Amino acid sequence: MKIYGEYLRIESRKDEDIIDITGLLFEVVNRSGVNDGIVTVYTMHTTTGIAVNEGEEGLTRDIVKFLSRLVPKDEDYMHHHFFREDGRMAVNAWAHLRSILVGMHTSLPISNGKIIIGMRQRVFFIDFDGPQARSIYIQVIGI
Amino acid sequence: MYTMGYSMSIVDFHIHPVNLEELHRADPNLTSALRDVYGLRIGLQPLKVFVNQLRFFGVSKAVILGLDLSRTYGVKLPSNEDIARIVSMHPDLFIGFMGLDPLKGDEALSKCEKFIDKHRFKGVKLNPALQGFRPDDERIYPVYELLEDLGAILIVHMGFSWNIHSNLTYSYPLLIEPIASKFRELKIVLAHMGWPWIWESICLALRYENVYLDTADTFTGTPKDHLKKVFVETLGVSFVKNFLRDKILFGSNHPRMESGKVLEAIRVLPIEDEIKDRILGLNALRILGEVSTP
Repeated sequence: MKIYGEYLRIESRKDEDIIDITGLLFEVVNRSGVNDGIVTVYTMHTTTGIAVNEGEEGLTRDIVKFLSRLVPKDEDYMHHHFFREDGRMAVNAWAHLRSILVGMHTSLPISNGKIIIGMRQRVFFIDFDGPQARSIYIQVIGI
Repeated sequence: MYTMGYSMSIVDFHIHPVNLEELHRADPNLTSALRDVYGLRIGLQPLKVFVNQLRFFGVSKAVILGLDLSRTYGVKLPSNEDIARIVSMHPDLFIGFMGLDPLKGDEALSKCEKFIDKHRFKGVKLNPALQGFRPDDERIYPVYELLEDLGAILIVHMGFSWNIHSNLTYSYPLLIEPIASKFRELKIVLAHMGWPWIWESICLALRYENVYLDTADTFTGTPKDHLKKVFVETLGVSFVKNFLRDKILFGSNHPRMESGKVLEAIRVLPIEDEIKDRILGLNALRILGEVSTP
């Protein structure tokens, strides 16, 4: 059995950005040499998320808008105080909470060297507190 | 929704470019210095992402500050050479302010001449509390005099700091009065509005034409919470409008607080658009000499 992994950088370009990373998963699976197994993508940040859904532009905007409505910025969050270990104020509880709702990873099956994914399904990286340079880890396990 | 009307320019007057990946790659000691001396633990960002951040939020000019802690801690956060390099890569966006240890006598004076004359830096950033000097120490006066002669701007940390190495005695705003009084042509920006000594800072801004205040950082909550407390609950909107409209500059204190978050906090303040335009850009452009007095 092989275990193969890569760290990749994603650069979000907006404060709330949804980025299609499906192609990156295919590329890593190709490089891994795994024919049958599973690929997992995991975000390294607590204010970002990983989601699988349709890539229609209106829908991607709806996703971001819905989460913003569900977890608004202007609430009274206990997270918003000074973090001595970081030397800065925490002011983005809403981004953490949206991240929890979306989840931080997803896994997809691999068969005959290809990721099994629905015709309309895409894998998205969502940044809730951009623009920033972010890191994801993609791991492929199989034979 | 507020839209920019008068100046169409947003100037962030207070940025420390200390978490740029390129600087940390070039100097591996910078990361530990940032944590141990400056008290900041933060993810690094490449310059192009930082530039995109500023542009995304609509910032058209960004003042980037050096900080010379070589005498007290053996580090520069970052060096003036680094500031010059960053400015040279994006001269349309960045405006350089040098770090300086004013107690270094002739060396300090020659550095001012070098970076302000040759590299076209617009001013100097001092942090007396962290650099360990009294700003009213007369040994420093030749530096203030030279800055005045060069037409440079002095931005000086005033008020609170979370940094445990800081001596807050040296960041009391009224210590600046003798300098503001003696060097009337030297434009002085009291950073952070001197919080919590806001009224002391305002005394100087009202009394001296050459004294200004910046909004950098947020000490009592989110930027929206903090600026609402300062502008609406403490000062009052009409006082800001009638007395301080030409005196306040937008500054973020990035990366302790992102530029876009402070900018948004100013945009939602219940004050007139024309006053916001002045705070967000016009006042800064005016003291930088890029527009004439409105």
